Amino acid sequence: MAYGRFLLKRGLQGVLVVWGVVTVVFGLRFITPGNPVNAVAPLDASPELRQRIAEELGLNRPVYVQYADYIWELLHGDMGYSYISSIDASTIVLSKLPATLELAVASTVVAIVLSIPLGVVSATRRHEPADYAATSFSLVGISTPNFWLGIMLVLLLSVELNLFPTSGRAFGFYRSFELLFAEGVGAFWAAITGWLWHIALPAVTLGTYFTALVTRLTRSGMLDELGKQYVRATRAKGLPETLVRYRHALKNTLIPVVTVLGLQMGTLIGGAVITEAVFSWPGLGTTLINAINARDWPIIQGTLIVIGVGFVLVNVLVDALYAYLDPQVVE
Amino acid sequence: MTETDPGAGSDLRGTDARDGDGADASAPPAGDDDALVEVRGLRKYYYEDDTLIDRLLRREPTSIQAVDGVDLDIERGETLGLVGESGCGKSTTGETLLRLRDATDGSVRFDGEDVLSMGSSELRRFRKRAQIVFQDPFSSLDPRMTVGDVIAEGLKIHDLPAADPDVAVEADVTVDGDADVEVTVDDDVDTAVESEGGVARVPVRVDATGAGATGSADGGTRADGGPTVSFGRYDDVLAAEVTPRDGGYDVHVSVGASKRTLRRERARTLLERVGLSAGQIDRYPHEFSGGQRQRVGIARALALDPEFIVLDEPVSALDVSVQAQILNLLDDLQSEYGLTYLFIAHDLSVVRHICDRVAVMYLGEVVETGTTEELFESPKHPYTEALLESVPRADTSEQGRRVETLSGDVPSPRDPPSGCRFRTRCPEVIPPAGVAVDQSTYRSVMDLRDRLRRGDFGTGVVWEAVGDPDREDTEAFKREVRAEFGLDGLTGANGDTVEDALEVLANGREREAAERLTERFESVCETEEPVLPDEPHPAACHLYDDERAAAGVDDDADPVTDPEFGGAGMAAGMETPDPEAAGGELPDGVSDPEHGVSDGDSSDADDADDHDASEDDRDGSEP
Amino acid sequence: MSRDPTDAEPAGAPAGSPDDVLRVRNLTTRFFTEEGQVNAVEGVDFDVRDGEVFGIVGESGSGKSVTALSVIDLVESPGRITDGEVWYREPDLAAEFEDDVPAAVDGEFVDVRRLPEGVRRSLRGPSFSMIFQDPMSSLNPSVTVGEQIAEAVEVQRRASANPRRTRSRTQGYGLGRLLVDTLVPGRGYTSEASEARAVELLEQVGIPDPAERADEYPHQFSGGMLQRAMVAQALAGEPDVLIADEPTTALDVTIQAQILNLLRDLQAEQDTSVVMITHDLGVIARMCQRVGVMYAGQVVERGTLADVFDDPVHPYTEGLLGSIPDMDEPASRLEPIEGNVPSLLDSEMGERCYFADRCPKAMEDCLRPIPMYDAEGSDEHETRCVLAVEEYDEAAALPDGYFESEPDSASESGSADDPAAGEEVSTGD
Repeated sequence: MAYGRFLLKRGLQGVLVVWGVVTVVFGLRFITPGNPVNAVAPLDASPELRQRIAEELGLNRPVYVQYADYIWELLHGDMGYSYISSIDASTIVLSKLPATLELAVASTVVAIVLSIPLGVVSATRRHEPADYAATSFSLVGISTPNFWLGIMLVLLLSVELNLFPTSGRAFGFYRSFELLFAEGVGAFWAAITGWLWHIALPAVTLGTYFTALVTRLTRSGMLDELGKQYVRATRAKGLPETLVRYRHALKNTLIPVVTVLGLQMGTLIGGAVITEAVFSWPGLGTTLINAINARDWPIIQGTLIVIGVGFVLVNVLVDALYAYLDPQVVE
Repeated sequence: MTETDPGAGSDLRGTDARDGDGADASAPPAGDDDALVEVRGLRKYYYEDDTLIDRLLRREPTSIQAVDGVDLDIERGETLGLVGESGCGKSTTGETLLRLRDATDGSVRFDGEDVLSMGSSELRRFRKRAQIVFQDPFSSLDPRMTVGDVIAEGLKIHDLPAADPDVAVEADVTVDGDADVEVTVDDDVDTAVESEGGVARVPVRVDATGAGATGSADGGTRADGGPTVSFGRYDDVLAAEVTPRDGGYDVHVSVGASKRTLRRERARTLLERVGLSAGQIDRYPHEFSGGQRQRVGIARALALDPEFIVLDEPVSALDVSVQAQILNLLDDLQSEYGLTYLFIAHDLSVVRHICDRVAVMYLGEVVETGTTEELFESPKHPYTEALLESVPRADTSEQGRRVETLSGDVPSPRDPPSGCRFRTRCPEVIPPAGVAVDQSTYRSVMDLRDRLRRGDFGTGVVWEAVGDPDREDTEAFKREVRAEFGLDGLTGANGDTVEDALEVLANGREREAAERLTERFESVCETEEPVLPDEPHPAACHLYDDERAAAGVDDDADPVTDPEFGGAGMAAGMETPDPEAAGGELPDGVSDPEHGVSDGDSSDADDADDHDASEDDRDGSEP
Repeated sequence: MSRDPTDAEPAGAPAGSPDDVLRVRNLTTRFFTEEGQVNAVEGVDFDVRDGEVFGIVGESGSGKSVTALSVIDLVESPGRITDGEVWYREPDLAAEFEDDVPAAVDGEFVDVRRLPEGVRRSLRGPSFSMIFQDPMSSLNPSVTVGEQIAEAVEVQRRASANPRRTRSRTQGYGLGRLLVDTLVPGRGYTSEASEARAVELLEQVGIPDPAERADEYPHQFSGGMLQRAMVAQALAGEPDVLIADEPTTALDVTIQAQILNLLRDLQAEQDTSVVMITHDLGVIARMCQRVGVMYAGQVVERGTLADVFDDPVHPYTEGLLGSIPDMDEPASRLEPIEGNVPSLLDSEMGERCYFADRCPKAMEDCLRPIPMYDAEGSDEHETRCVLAVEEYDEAAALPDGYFESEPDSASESGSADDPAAGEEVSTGD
């Protein structure tokens, strides 16, 4: 039950943070130079349109009323209307969310699958060739700018070798399931493999940087753990080495590693802009940049809020996972 | 050959500017009877679950009562030992006393001044007079500072060395050769020269035998063959200005080095004093062994010339042979500098060796104090006895020694036991009047009651053990509980009550069972918190209530004792009949034939023996 | 008569008393670090009898912990056992390897150092086990105590069920098995039987409510309770020899008394031999019948309790006894041993008695490697000091300051970094 209490506490803290984010985002409209109406209205708007916008924004009402309205609307899923794009902000933003999540998760999976074994090998075969190879790979991975890597991968694997598509997302993971119900297994299978093919390169690109970081963490964490007294004591009781390394040392190593992985994944929710650009992956990062360029305020605000909420959510989940794995945290 | 009178010409009270710190705020007050350090009712609580969210969720903040009402007196020049095991609060007491942590309540008077309410400048002055040496030589020194820096840091902070107007400066002049030399010394030379007994003696050697010697800026000379002045080991820090006049020379001695250099010199001196070599002044802590680092810690504490040093387990982390070196050093330093020590330790043999008086702590409270001999030879409090008993002696006779160990663990400071905190482990808990029962059975009943009260009993588990999930066989249930807790063999009213309670318990009514037992078996140790009385060798234990009542000591009237003490309750909680002789009465039940019958366990006989023996001891040590 | 440890390899098990269970001869362990070779343990001999408690006393840098680890073959790189024999009396084992490795077998004794590594590893748990100084750091903080003890039980179970398997490189449990067990729910290394036995063991060591405590994590236990759990874990395999490395140093004195009583009781019950390693002479006096004193990697004195405490010959032993504050008869001043622990770097250790630079009775005769001499007292009493056979002669004494030029650990940056000196005493208050 202490765990439940802990989660509740973390959840409440998360809610407080989200509220903070929303407030700041709300305040942005007043901070930007110029009339908020100008910010929202297209350049060629007529005076009537401007008048209407002003009313809609509630600019004639006191600030706290506007604030309350804003929150109220948000809770109902209304992020405002983008005059520049002629579409509800929430529609656009939420439609980009699945793609963003897919990329974030896929990159993380790539990172996990690569880095943890690499890290373990590196730690257990210290100073041997395998260790040096893994460490070098880490170094290269962490130093390579991911746009270069992405472009190289595209050039090599897509253009030259034609193994992967160069860009786009195809149907997407979620929609593939829709197809399953709508048109049967065949369509589903085609859609899902298409999606896999499309996400492979972006995920590897983004995941590589990630991998480097996590490999190093795993390696040093593992070395740390293996030097601890309890490992020696566990060996002393005769437990097979495999169990000592994996069931004891690795498990403890992974606890902070999981945290880092989670947090990194959180940053990917809005931070994969470059990769998205290289692969034309329709994610939130691109949306945000485009909106900024077009000075499309509702979309900017909507995107920021979604990114913020996503990040906080990931943080809370990571905290929960950490507390689950490490029994000492909850006490 | 005229020799200048060493006293003449020295400037006793110069007109040089005085350091503001020389003001009278730290002048020692009159009255030698006042202890140097007086602690009254010191409390330090830590609060958990105290954040905003917890308040929202309406959680009560739990308090960890690390130190809960400590009274101590430390006389000038003595070494008071503060002993106890981990979690008893001794380190916290030491640090709170010096205001290194904020106290939750209580008062600390140092030389008459109230430490806990000092403002920042008074606090600074206090820090010069009271210092601390920490336990862990590995973490108490900043690894990025050289040991010289570590030692001199205090001096730097207080802008020392500073001229002390109370210190007279005199020159010990020796003149070689023919000349009439008059030596004047600046008053602030006492920053560079060590003083003893209020006087700083500067060795001045004037070599007036002529012949142009080359000289440096200090101990300088004149190119035309004037006299050379040297200061022995103070050559690096003093400077002389020689002015010729009719018939001789005037030599003016002043401080010739920066404060930084002076501080370094002092650090060097201190390093030597604690047994290290001054040449190691620029080394880093990791280059030293544990014992050496601890010496550095001691040198650091000495740098400010304190009067009082709190030594927080200074030798616990060291090897035995190194420990002995450090203890000897501490002894020497105490005599040399007239220091007062608060020696916090858990190792009783060390305490016996170095301390004059000792206070024993348990779970945040002081349970006994006395001179070292009193405490070690005739301990009064059962915890002290247990501590002494548990220490293994480095002697062949130790092989055959039977050690009675305390049962269980120290209770959590979050939830200390009611009444006397030691009662959950005490081998001499006091049964109520009229209840005749031996210690081990009584302890069993108490354990059962405690478990029931805490809701920790696990009725289900017992039924499982009996193998009766339907919970019908109450006899088997009772047998099982009796066996588990060791409650067999009770007869008479005791037996009846237990039987009743077990019957009730078998029917699932835990609380009622607990109440039944409490009615009969509640001890004064649970209801009354014993206080440390104001007498020469006090012990906070109800075992001595009889003696004190008989001796007519009225604890209520004593302003020094813990204000929390429920004086009225003392008579109410105890149903003991009139003590006949002064403290000579055995607690009920020890001579009762019942105890021999209970479970035939030889430990019962031993308990009785222990009782008799220790009772006799108490008789013997009666003031 | 001296027994020179540098004799040529003896054929067969060394002589000793008939009820020895362990005979260690000439054990030498070195650490090959960047700073040079560190001679942590040098030519150590001792015997442990059936059912006795043998004490090894020494301070930091004496090599006592490394000796323990060497016996149980847990010395990790950069350390290595470079010489010595560890004769263990185990008739079954002897019978098994009589033909394969005849040089390692002599009657009922087997020199485990000459056996294959897998066999040595398999002895951990069922034959030898160890408890360490700080219980809180000797258990995995994220696995329940019951589970960890159950693992120890399981080791024993598998070893007796299938000895050959446990001697393989993977000890009968490789990565493949691990993956399968992780992915398939309900399977694992431990079984219900081993978990039940773990609870039994917890009860045996006096932990109340053992079934509930078994599901708790180490940080939920107090120091004393956790050390009891460690004892339970160590005895799970029913070993012949239990090595206890400073088991009570991190505990409070009243808890220490409990644990020592527990060890004594269990040891008597199960007839386990115990090697009690500590720096606390009081603990030695309480628990041990025979003692070895170590200094700078060597055994410098050995004998019964009375020999060492009442008739010490070696000045280090005397110094040690003199530096302890006596609880019952406090002396006015302690007599500490001057100087510091020597450096264990091979390049800095001279060919002499290693204590000579701190010894108040050093003589010219001490400037060579000293063998063990018999000393007065019981038959067991031996000491690595010429004073056993010579009187102290002022005339032959070494002058003060003779060793000034030699480095010691004080002036070196190294004693804190010394891998072998991880035995710095620390209390867990």
